[in-house]
Amino acid sequence: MTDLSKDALLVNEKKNKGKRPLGSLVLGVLLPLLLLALWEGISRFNLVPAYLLPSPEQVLITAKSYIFDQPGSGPYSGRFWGDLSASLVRVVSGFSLAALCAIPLGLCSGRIERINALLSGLVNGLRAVPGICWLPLAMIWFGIGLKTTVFLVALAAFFPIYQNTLTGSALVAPVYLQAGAMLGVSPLGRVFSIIVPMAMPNIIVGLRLGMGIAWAYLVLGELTGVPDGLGAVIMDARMLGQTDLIVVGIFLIALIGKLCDSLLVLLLRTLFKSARRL
Amino acid sequence: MEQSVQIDPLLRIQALSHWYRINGAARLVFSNLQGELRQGELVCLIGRSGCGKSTLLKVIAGFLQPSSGKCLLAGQEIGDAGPDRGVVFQEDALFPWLTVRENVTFGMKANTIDSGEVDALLQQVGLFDYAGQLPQTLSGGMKQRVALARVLIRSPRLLLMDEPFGALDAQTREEMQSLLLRLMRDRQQTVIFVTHDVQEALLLADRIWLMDQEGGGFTHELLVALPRPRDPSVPAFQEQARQLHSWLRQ
Repeated sequence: MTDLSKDALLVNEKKNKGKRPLGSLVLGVLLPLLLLALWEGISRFNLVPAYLLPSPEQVLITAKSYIFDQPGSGPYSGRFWGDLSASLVRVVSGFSLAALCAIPLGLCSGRIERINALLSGLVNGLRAVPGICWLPLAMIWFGIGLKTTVFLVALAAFFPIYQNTLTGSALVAPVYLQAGAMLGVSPLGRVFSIIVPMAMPNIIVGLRLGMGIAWAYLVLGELTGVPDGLGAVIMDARMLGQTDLIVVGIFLIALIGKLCDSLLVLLLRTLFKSARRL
Repeated sequence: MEQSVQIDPLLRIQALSHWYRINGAARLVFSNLQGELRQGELVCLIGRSGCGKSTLLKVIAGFLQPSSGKCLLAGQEIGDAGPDRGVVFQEDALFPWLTVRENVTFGMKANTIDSGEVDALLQQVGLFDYAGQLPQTLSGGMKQRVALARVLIRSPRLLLMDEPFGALDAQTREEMQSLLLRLMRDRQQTVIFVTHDVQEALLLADRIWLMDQEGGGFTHELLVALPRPRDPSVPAFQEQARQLHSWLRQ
């Protein structure tokens, strides 16, 4: 075989490597379907009382009313879109604030030993503090509402983004920076054209973890008595003993969290070439 | 080392020494290196592992400041790394998120890119059909051809190659050696080529510099006056190989 045809074969092999087989897609939905069937079985045979675990059918009816019915036709009818927009504003604000602080600091800490030494003690100490500990202080500082939730979300999302960006930028092999210097790229240019793209896989992991944790802390922030938001609905439903609405809230947060994660990846892949190779 | 009779060498290495400290103790890498390189010459640096071949290349490239002495490129003392000294590393060091073409033109301003010239260079290195591929889809030999193309597009005065074919299989290595000699001839390119392979040095070099294992300077210089393409089976080639091996064993 000639060198060129060998090379062409290699190119084709590697091209096909990234495609996701149908089998893995089926596997992805298999477990959720099994759990749904188990849930349906438990409800149908009354193994657990409905006030503890409502049936899938009841949850669907409540979800339909919460999402699609006219506002005012029931206590929670049609409230979903208002709650969603309130929660999204809090998540996006807190997450953006976290990313804006964590990425530059992570890059500096990963590349400059003195900055890392300066920040690592503080960051690692604060990272160990559970988010719930911040809640009373945040309520005193910011009161109940947007600011407290944004503070909690930003604080929680900061650490995974910072830590992963730090790791990614610290792992950039010197040979790439030497190549950049040799090709005439300025020291500052190397940060944006080499370090950030090389660290992109880690930055993406950090952002995705940060986005996931942002939703968790959103609910914590909204459990403090704010009038709207998906977390607030769950808290209200608990007080009213409406377990079906709690389950609806949990499902919607899971669904929207997954959607946000996919949109984040899509956005990064659209904006950055270095995110497209993943 | 015998001084060159050329009045204006492209590269002049003057009393170059380098050492570094480990746990407070100084470790000498090389000392008092002297040498000259003429335009269009290919000099191979050869020596045992750890003798400082790659360190010397890093100093000439501008990645490392020497402890003492200096290097002059066309009469000017070399400073920080720049496109006038192109480096092909042992590992390909291509940017994995960029296509072959984008890697070749990386760092160039859009208005300075002559796409016809890029195409011609990609043709020369046999990668024109792969211009839109990412490095991860290429073989080791193809990656090194991209690495070569991205320095040649900048027409460097000096090409520095640090065991660039060390990780390739024998057949690909031979093809890359032929490609390098062809490009050198066509472009009158001056090259310093680091290798630990005696046969590779004899196949490529106009001159071979041997580096001292014990932190000294160049211990020997061998002028390779054999006609190209060189045949390792001819007695003159084998005689020079024996000479190099005996110097390396000393």
